[in-house]
Parts: sequence; C-alpha cells; structure tokens
Amino acid sequence: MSQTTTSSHLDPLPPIDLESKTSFRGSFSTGMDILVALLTILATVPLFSLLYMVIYKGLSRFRFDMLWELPPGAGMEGGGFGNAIVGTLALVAIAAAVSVPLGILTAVFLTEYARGSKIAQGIRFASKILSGLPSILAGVFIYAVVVLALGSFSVLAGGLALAVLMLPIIVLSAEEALLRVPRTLRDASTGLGATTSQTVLRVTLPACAPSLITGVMLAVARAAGETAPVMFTALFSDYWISSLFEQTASLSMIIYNFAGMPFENMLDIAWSASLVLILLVLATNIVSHLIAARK
Amino acid sequence: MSESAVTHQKRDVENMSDASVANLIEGPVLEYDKSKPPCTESAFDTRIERFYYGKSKALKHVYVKIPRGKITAFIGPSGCGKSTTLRCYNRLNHEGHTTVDGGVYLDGKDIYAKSVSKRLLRYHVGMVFQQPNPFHFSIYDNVAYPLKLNGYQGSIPDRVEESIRSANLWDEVKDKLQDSGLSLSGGQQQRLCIARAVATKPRILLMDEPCSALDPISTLKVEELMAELKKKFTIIVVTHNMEQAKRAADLVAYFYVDREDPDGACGQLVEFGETMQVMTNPKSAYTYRYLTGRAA
Repeated sequence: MSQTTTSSHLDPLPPIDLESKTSFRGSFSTGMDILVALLTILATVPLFSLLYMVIYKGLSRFRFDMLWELPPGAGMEGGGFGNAIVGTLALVAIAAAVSVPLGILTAVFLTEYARGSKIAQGIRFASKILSGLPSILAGVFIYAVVVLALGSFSVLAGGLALAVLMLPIIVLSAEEALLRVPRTLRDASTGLGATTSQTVLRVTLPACAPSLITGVMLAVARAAGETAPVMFTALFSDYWISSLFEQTASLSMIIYNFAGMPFENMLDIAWSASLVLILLVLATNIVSHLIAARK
Repeated sequence: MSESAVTHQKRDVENMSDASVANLIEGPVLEYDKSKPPCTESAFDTRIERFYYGKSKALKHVYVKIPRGKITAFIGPSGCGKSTTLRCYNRLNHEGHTTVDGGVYLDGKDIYAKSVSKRLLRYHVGMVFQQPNPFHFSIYDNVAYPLKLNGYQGSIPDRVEESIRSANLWDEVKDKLQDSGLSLSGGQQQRLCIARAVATKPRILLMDEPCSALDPISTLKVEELMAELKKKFTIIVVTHNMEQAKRAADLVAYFYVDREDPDGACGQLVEFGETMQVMTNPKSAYTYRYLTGRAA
C-alpha cells in the first residue's frame, strides 16, 4: 500500500546514456592490456626455451641403459648414470630425514608455544637469513664440520649439506601453514581439555598436512638440483654406493663433470642426466601442487 | 500506523513508571560480602575484582553467583567484557599473560588456584564457540575426541550416540557418522559442536554467541536444544540478541563498558537478576539506558 503511494511523489530523473564511445582512456587501457600480455609472454621465454633445449637435446641422446649403467671412463663407449640417480635419491632422503622433523618441530614451536615472543622473532629472522644463504657456503660449512671430522667425503655429509639448505624453507613454509589454521580450531581442542601437544598432534598438524607436504616437496625439489654443496661433501664416484660413509655420484655432479669433457659419449650422458634431473624436479613440483590443490 | 514510515514498537522497559525511572541508581547495583565463604550452592561463585590482559585492565567488579540448572545470559554492548568473563570460567583467555584479582569458585574451590589443572577444569566446563568449529575428521571422531583425550573408561560408541542424540542431531547424521564434520550445514555443525561439548558430561556449558553465525531456523533449533540441555547442565550464554535472551534465558547479567576508568575502557558487571525483572524493571540507570537503546 505504502509503496504505490510513495512512488508518485518522486521527481522525474534525467535519462541515462549507456552507449560506449571511443575515448583516450579506453584506447590507453587497451594498449596497456596488450603490453602486459606481451611482457608476460616474454617472461616465459627463458623457461620454455630451457625446457625445450634440455628435452630436445636430452631425448635425442638418451638411451634407456643409461639409467642403470655406471659412468664410462674417458674416451670409452656406453655407460650411464645409474649410480648418480641412486646417489641423488640417497642424498635427498638423508636431507629430508634430518630437515623435515627438525623444520616442522621448529615451526610448531614458533606458532604454538612461543608465538609473538622475542625468541620466536629471533628464530624466524635466522631462518629467513639462512634461506638466502649461498648454497656453496652450506657445502663449505659441512666440509669443515663433517668431512674434515670424519676424514672423508660421504653420502652422509652431502645429505647434511642439503639439509642445511632445506631447513629454512621447511621452517618458513610450515610456519605459514600452521598460522593459517584458524584459532577457533585450537580453541575447540583446548576447550575440550586437550593439552597443547595433543592439540598440535591431533588437530593442528593434520589440519594443515597438505600445505606442510607442499612445503617439503618444494624444499626437496630445490635441494635435488644443487651442485655446490655436494661438490664439497659427497664429491663423486664411478661406482655404486654401499654405505653412508663413502663418496657418491649425483645427477648434478655428473652434469658438472661430464659437460666440460671433449668426448661425445660423456656429453650424451650429461644431457641425458640433465633431462632426468629436470623431469624429477618437475614431477616433485607437480605432485606438490596436486597435493595442495586436493585440499 | 500510517502516521510514520518507521513503526515504533514499544520496548517492555518503556512501560516503567516515571517514579521507578526516577529511582534508578547511577552505577552498578551489585556488591558482595568478602567475609562470606564462597558459595557452593551455585554453579560458579564469581568474585573477579579486576582482570588483566598483560598490563591492560579488561574487567572489574564481576560479582555474580551463577545458579545451577538455569540458563544465564550475558548481555551488553560490544567490548563490555561478556566473552572475556565467559572465558574466565574455563580459563581460555589466551591473549598473553592474564591476571585475576579475586577468584572464580567452582564447588567452593578457586579455579585460579595454582594446583588447579586447566585440562581437568575444561573437562568439567564445556564450551561452544561463536563460529561452528568442528574438526576436519569424521562426525563420530569429533564427538569421541574429548573422550579419547581424557581416557574415558566406558563405551565410547555408546557415549557418542548419547551425546549426538542429546544435541538433537542423531536422526540427521546416524547414517553418515564417518563423513567429515565439515560436510554438515552451519546449524548442524553447531549442534555437532554442542554434542562434542556435552560428551564429557560437564557440569557447566559455556556458549559464546552460539547462534550469531546461524540462520533463524538453526537458531531456533539451538535455542530449543538449550532449553532441553538445562535439565542436565548449567548454561551460561553470551548473546547480543535481546530477543534471544528474553526467549531463552532464566537470568540475565548486564555488562557495561566503563570508558571513564582511569586505566582505560574496561568492562564491568552492572546488574544481574531474573530475565523479566532486568528487562522490564531494571535497577541500574545503565541497564535502563541500554534497554531503551539510548546508550551503549
């Protein structure tokens, strides 16, 4: 009732023009759109040209027996990088076994026990500095602390050097994951009589597990391709590893060693090892994204 | 009705006679006798003189005995300390270091005493939060969680069923107990949280604006549930919905934020009594002004 009576009191409004017209503003905006698109394409050129080169050169020289053969001597035919694949996997496994528990526990301490405290700020600052550490320094550090102490290059030392690189990445990504768990969830658990450790183990960590795994995978992908830390710690070997205390080959080191050689067969192996390494890293990244997306 | 576009429904409190309005007291109307031992008849004897977050004072003069087997509603403007007070009852105030001058007594024992285990306190004082916050695991495990935590000796499946039934949720979830708690609707999630909170059979159930994130039908279901639950538990509910306080609560405590306090704005308890008495015939002028919508 009141609606019909009130509308008659309104003054008539001027008509509205909605037709589009060309203007400087409009053409400038279109120009910027095109520029942004072009620059975006330009930015991806290095990535795709690198992928193209490695895959093209690698595939044309790749032989399946390379995956299980040992590296050949200078000037010899055949051979492969089987021990380097095993070496890289062993190095990354040791690095993950050390850095994942340490990193996640540190993040738990930062967010659940010492949130906002001076100690937490100090640890977070240290982690950020460590994440920017040149990787060669991690190698030199472990060389001084482990290699010299044990008297030899070893898989163990190589794994520890990679762990130094992975640790800050895991701490910072796990902290971010834990911070994204809403406080109401912790309150719910605490309010039901759970201790802090019960809440962390049963509620907080499981709730952010996908993000934790993503962070770990990214750290693994970063560590798998490192050369400098391995050069000072695990060095190289022409043979299969049989213990943690002997030196080992790795994909990055076989690329480094063979890429400068004058023998065509060694160059084939270096390109093929590059292909395998890049596929491993790519696969790790894709898996981590799938895990993150599944949430 | 046609005289004005905005229709004004007269509030209950505006039926007060001019004489009673003139008799209102400018200030809080609650006091307590320090010399008397803490009351053991009530669910909680609250004697908070001052409450601090770190160095800033958040509450003062909260003196109230919460009666057993009733629903007590905490009302008042934003920032008046309703939720802070509620969280004093299970010691879930966690913004830095907190200090309580005075005490909160459960069965005559101060829950802020050094020897008190917060874990056991929370076993006996359940809490439901503003946002429904079920865990990511299954409906069954959500309710079993507090039982497993505290090493419940009886049959967990039986107690889980009993708790879900008492939250009026059983018929809706009995065929999908293994589904994630997050798959339920908002109102069902909140009733799941209630089932979880009553699984340990606490003496007291704290509810912090349990309906503010729910639609009207879910709100009604939760209010009906509260009326049933008060047969078994003492309920303290924070609400900023006057109608809800009137519908659901037996007693009402009105909180006020004292902005003149030398230590900065600070919440305090002004008035406490039967819902109808406070709503229609308050004793404090602070309550009167809040109820007539004239002051925060």
